[in-house]
Amino acid sequence: MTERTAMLDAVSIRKSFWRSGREIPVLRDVSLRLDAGETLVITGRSGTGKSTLLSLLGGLDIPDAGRIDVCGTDTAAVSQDRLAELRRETVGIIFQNFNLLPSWSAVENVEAALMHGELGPAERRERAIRWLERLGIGDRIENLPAELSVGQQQRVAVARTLVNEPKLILADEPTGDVDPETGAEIIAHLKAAVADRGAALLVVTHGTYPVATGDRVLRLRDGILEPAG
Amino acid sequence: MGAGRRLPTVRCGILAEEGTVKHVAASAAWRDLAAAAGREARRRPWRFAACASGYAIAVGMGVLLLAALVFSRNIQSGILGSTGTHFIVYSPACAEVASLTTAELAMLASGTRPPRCEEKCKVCTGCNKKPLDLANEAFVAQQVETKLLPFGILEQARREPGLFRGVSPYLMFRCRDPQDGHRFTVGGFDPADTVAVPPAVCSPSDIIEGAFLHPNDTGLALVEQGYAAARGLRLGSAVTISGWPFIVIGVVAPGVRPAKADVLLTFSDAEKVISRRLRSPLFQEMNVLLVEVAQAEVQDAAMARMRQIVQTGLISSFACYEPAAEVLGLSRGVIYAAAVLLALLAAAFGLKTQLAAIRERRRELGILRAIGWSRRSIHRLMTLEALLPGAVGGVVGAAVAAVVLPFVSLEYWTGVPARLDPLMLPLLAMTGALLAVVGGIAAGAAAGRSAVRELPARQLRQY
Repeated sequence: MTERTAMLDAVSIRKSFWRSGREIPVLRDVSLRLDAGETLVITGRSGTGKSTLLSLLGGLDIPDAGRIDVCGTDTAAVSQDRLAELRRETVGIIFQNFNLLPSWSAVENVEAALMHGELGPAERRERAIRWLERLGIGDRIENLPAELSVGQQQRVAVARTLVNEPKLILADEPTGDVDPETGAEIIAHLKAAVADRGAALLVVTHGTYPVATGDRVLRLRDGILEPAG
Repeated sequence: MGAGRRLPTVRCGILAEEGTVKHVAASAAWRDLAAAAGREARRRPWRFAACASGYAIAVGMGVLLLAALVFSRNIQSGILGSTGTHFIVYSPACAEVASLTTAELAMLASGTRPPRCEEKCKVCTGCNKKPLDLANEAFVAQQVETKLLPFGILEQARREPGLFRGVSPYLMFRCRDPQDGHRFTVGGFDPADTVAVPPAVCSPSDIIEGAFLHPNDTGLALVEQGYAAARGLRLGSAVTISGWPFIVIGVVAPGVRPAKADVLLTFSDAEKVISRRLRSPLFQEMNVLLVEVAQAEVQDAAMARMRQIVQTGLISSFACYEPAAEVLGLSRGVIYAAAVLLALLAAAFGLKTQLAAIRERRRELGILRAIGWSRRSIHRLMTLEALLPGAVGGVVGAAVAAVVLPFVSLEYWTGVPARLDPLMLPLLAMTGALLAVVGGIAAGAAAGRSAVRELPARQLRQY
């Protein structure tokens, strides 16, 4: 068997939240590995910690225990700025609720992901527009998120994630709030990123995302990952 | 592969070579951040306006407060700045003068300095201009016999207007009346000098009878009221000095003046009559220098400088300049303190506003961090976002204050007939605007620090 590049390697992750002095364990002992060119779908009911897991894998939060390597980088051992750099250059996150900047237009939201790079303003704008056009909302680029439909907002969020051509894509219900047609388009773009660029894709879903598109499917239950089915 | 199964990790060296991963701690360009800050201001105009107007009110009120303080200080300065700000300079005569021999005096008269005077008298011309009646007559100042001082000293002092507001030559000579042998002092001053002469000798307001001398008067004299009473002098009387009759045109009551004399003549008349009583005539010389200092606060510096100029000189001053200078210093301190307070106020206001904005925008900041913005970029963005309303509000507030201020009648409120220096207005306005900008930057920087302290996930959970 040829050794593949591990884009993501998480070992024994634990995470709890505290409410009114009471510990609420969310992730008890989660380990997973995701290689380049691989798609992993994690299913689970609402409130089982899927989004929390994604936050931890994306370096947005810190686990109580365990180790997460993103592209060979131990996320616990690096600074917040290095984590930001990882998210900028290597990891793209699609959030369940889009997380668009409300006072920035569609194209500005996409451009925001390119602001730290070497592209000049004109190239940035051109690239952002190209991605928005690719996702079918080239005619709404100057609209604010509030002026877009839910489906259009989701497309902007996907464009913002893919515009940097990340090697690791973490998607939280990427087709959760969109119509089947839009969902299919989004899935097609994510699959293309995996197929064309060898990106690794991790999707968490409570059922809206077709699990058949995944190379592997796991289920998160009671804070533990287990094989689905 | 199932959950929890471990495979060897391979670092993404290949990816790095492809240029996808660049391990550079990049931050967004200032230009992009400024554009983002400007966009934020445009898209949320009411919040921006509220924030900027807060700065404008703070700066406007601050500028008005500073203007009132500066105005108050100007008034104090006008009164206290000239309190006791004068002194006289003279150089005591050598002790050896009395022991000079006739031969030595003859040498002096011919322009040669006797060997024993060589070391001590570098610039003094006093000895060769000794009075003919050595026993009774002399150049004096405050009961002390003095040397003569060259006019060159005047020029040196006039080159330093920051220290000396006015300097004037003065001759003060003790004479003996050949008729009855009584002694009296003759003072020679420049009547045109209205700065250094009045506080040290006398002024037109000291006239109790008659009129004051004019610069071109000749053959006319003022007499001190006590001397006039003692000698039975009145207006029109003649006072004869060196055989020259001077008509009394005024009686003065100068009170406590360091250089007051019994008989006052114009400088040129005094020069003539005194020269007749000397072995050699006076030429561009004086024995007392009258000095008016620029203001009470520089009195010490002015006296120190004068000691450098007249190295053998003594200075006689009034001590009342000291409390005046102290009060003026305190007043200036209050203005500085108010300015600092204003800056702190602007910064505190800005900080409060920015912190409120950050709380409101925690989620947005979390989004920016989630898509890879560095903490430095967020910090800078926050600083710029705070700077914008600070600058706009500061400029508007300062401009409004500058426009309003001339119409605020400080004279009406204070009852003091004084005006604020027109040049002070733009200076105050610029100071106010600058303080708002500084306050905005400080507030933004502090708020920015607070904004990047939280983990992005925690910020993203805010709704």
